[in-house]
Amino acid sequence: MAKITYIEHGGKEHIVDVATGLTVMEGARDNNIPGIEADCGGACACSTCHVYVDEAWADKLPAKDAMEEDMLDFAWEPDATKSRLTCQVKVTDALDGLIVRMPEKQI
Amino acid sequence: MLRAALFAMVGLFAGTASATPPNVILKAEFIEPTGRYDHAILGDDVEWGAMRVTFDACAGCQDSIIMDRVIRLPETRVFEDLEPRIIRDEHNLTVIMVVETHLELGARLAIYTADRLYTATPFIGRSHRWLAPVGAADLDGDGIPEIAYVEKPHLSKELKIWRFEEDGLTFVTSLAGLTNHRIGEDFISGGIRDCGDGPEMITADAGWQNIMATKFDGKRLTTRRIGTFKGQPSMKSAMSCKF
Repeated sequence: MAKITYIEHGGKEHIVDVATGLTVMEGARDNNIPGIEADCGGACACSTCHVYVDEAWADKLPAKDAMEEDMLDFAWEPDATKSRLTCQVKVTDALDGLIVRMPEKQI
Repeated sequence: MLRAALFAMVGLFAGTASATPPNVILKAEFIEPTGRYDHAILGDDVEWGAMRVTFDACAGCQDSIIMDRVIRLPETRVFEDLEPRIIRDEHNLTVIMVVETHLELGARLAIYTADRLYTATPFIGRSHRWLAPVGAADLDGDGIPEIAYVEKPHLSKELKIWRFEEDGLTFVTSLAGLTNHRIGEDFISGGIRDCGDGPEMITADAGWQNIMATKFDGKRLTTRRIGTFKGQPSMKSAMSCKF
């Protein structure tokens, strides 16, 4: 279990407990947190679960694979360091305290 | 090696015992027809916005766990293909090969596992540019599967070979002057055959006068004329090794 803070683009915070083994996207989906759409269902086939990971966490997450890198090219205003697709980030105990921020929109 | 490559694709490693058997794809079908891409290269202007994948999440277990997953593309992309193709190896490891098109960047060949987009070629780079799959097979006998398609079958008519490797697809070689589709046809001509002397890719030549058989030796492509193109019956005869 990890406590994750999702911050909407407008600043509203949602702090929820997400079970180990889910993805960060599924944590948002299961808690009805707006701003993460995940149109493709978590298949890394779209970029609509894009977030900016808090700077303090950017280096602590598992590295992006090639497909996630490619898909981020199609995301709204991606940031080379902080952008991630939340469907590709598995929750572990090590992610307790993770903070992610939503982009202005998902495309 | 084939097993290694496919195991790697589904996130496992050959020879490694795992408590989680790979998902086995049983069926894949396009759903959610859409007119958001005005290409109509396959005869109508209906493409597909999503794909439903049915898979066994516990193949080899006493009780199968049959699940469905919908992979929905964003509004900027469509599936521009006849159908999703399930590629299966001798160990029942499966992936899906499909043509996926970006509205502004044209087509690419994408490979999906039951769970996710695994890898893809780059988009061609321009709208209204398509590719027609020839097939997937171990073309050079090295144990690693290759995929073959004709890029821009109505323009440059270039047969391209990519190899499955553990980190994705690697471009190997290409040969211009071959094609397998004409604008508006709702089918793709030819494919991969093996008449006892190894796999051959069957296509037409650029002018649709001749049927061509092309082999891949691991480095380069060599092609030869095997007959006169006289419509689909002649292509089917070639595929069934009648000449």
